[in-house]
Amino acid sequence: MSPDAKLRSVPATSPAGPRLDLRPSLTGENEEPEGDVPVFDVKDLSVYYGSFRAVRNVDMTVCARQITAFIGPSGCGKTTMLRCFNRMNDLVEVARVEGRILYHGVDLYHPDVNPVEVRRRIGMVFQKPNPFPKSIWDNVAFGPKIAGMKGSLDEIVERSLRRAALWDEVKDRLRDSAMGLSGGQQQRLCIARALAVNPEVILMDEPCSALDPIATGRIEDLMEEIKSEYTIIIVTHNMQQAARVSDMCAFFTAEVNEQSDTRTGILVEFDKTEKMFANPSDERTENYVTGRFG
Amino acid sequence: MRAAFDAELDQLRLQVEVMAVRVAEALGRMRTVLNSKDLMVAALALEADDEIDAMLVSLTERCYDMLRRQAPVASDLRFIVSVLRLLEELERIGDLALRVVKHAPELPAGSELLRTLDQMADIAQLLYRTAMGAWSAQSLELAGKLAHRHHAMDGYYIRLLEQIRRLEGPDSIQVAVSAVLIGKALDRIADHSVIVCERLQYLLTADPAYLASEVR
Amino acid sequence: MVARSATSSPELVRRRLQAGRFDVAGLVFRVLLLAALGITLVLLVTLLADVLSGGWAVLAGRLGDFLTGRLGITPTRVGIGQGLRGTFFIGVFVVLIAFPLGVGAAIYLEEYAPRSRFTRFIDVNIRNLAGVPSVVYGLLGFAIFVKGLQFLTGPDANGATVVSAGLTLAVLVLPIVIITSAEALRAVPENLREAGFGVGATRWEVVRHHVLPYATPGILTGTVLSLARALGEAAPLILVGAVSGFLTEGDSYRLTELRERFTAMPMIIYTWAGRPQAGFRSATAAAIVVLLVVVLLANTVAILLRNKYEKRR
Repeated sequence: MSPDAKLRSVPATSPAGPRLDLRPSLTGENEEPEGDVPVFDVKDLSVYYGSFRAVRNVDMTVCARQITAFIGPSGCGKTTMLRCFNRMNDLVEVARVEGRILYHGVDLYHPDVNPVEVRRRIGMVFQKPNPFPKSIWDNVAFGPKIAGMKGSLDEIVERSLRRAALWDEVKDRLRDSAMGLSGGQQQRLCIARALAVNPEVILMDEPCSALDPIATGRIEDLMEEIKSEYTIIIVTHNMQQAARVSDMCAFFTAEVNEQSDTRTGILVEFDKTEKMFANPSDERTENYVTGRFG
Repeated sequence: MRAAFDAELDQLRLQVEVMAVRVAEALGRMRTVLNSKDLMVAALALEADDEIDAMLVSLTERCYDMLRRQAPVASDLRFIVSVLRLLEELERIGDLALRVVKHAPELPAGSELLRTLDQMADIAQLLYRTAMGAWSAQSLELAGKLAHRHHAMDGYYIRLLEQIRRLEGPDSIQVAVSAVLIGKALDRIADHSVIVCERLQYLLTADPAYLASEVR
Repeated sequence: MVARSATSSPELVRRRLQAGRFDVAGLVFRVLLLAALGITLVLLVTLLADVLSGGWAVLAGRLGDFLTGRLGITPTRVGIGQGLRGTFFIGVFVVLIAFPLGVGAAIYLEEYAPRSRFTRFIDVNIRNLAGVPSVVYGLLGFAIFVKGLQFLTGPDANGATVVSAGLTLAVLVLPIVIITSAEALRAVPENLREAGFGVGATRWEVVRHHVLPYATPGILTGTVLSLARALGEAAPLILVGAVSGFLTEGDSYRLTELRERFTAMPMIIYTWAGRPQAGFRSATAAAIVVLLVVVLLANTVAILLRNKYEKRR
């Protein structure tokens, strides 16, 4: 917990520009005793695909400038949960959310909230690198361009690529196609693309699962570097990665529904990473992190 | 899941027990030599200590290997780390028992010193047995019992010092030195047994307060 | 472990690797496939050869006159100029009407419409429409454009104008354009859309900047193929009332004359093929060659455009 978290007050204006300020005016009450500022408050969240309940009754609080990891076996709703935070589940027609996710006190699923604005503040990096089939420059500049961000696009592109530790490798070939980059480079490009719109939160869905260990290491280093400015939520299957990289850890597992023979994800334990890996409270967590089940 | 790892952990547990038995035997031999000055037993004790040292090395290597290959976390990690410390404690106890065996012949037969030292050795053995019993059973309750029993050792140590002060004769300094060395060794054996119990308590509760034990 | 040592001698290994079962079924299958390809090629080559040899006299002899000439009764003096004009304008109508409407409908169905029984119903119906015989479209065109909307399509010519033909053929290829465009849109990988939404783009921005460019090669291929089809259809032209015998005007490219009587290539070919005079044999063949060239040109343009957009991908 950084000591200057107490000194740093939460800014009153949205970082993504003047378009739409989701957050209400903030007072000093947002500072919790340890200096952990809550960004998301999830209250009794359940996600349905049609009549099938994929995730049920999740309660958690995600704090600013920390890395929170979602771990758990396959099919327990981690990715579904993650995609609730930036309303990507809206793209699936039969998806429905019950309960609330509060982002700085504002209900993300309120009918007046515009999902496009949500996604500008809460960015996403996907499992398989998916750069646009355009030039490197166009990839990074697309978001800021359509958001109407002020400032020179060249500067924004350079700044984002530097943040993503990719600038030195591509600065001489910005007009080349992004599809010519290696897997690890493409993923860093996707991170740069997400950073370009200056979000507050970055959601990462198993960002390293398609990459080799060296590329994975670079992205983990990157996460460490940008942690001080962004709030990151990462879904990962790699437990060592969760242990290495995250501050808080949420363990999900799947409950089997006898009658319908389906599985519904539940949140079992949510605590500091050190505790989850040294001495978890729930036996199911212990069994999962020691590899006895999963 | 992880059946191979579980099997390795079981093997480790077993081997640690074997080492503990060897050390118990060493303590038995120590008492025999203290009482009877049997040189044959003393020679045996020397050899047996080499075996204990060798076991320390091989089991430590095995633990490092498991850490490297299996990346254990939570209770698995606490177990291996506790075993590493336990192995050292056992080896130390074996060494101390050997030290007693080395110095025992220097004491005159039948002296009151010997009786006191034997009583101290008895306590040391009891503490050791309790500690290893707690470890085998992985019992928090048994581990907790050790703290107050140790104080009995202090009483005997004071008596020993009084007896040493009353020594007379040309060999008195030599005898005094030997007696002190043996007494201190026995006292340390007791301390190490207590540390074993505290390490067990850390393993079972994950409370870092139990990591702070030292030999006085 | 038991078998290993017995087979490890190099000689044995080599013999085993070199042996192979004789794949009878595979061979037979290959032969049949080659035969199918061969027969198809033979048929096509025969067709082309027949047509080329038949029309060679005209094409080699008086190409310029033939291309600019008019309809008539003398085989040695007839030309397809008016037909080319009619075909040209029909192409224009198809491009201007069927393409935007078709692609737009496809975009709506694939990107915007929620998946419901209703949209699936529409989908099925469009597929059915694509299979409707062109004669039926001809009748439809006759009823609506020639008769019903006569005031619009050309009252002076009783509605039997290029406008009617163009509209009819546009309607004919519309379902095909929708289907091929929808297929091209469906082929766009979902993670491309997700990437676009992920940086906060609206649905239209995602479609316009990412989905459409990716789908363009597929859409182009489909649309130009349907253009080629439209240019070759004869039945609708007959029903709409393309002129077959003698046409005074109908060879100027002025827009005001669109609402006059007209003719088009397929009509000419159909008519001349039915005339007994020997000279019309070669004239028909020559006209067929010209139409094939036009269709070939259209396809070539499609391929060039598609390659250009695919490279950009």
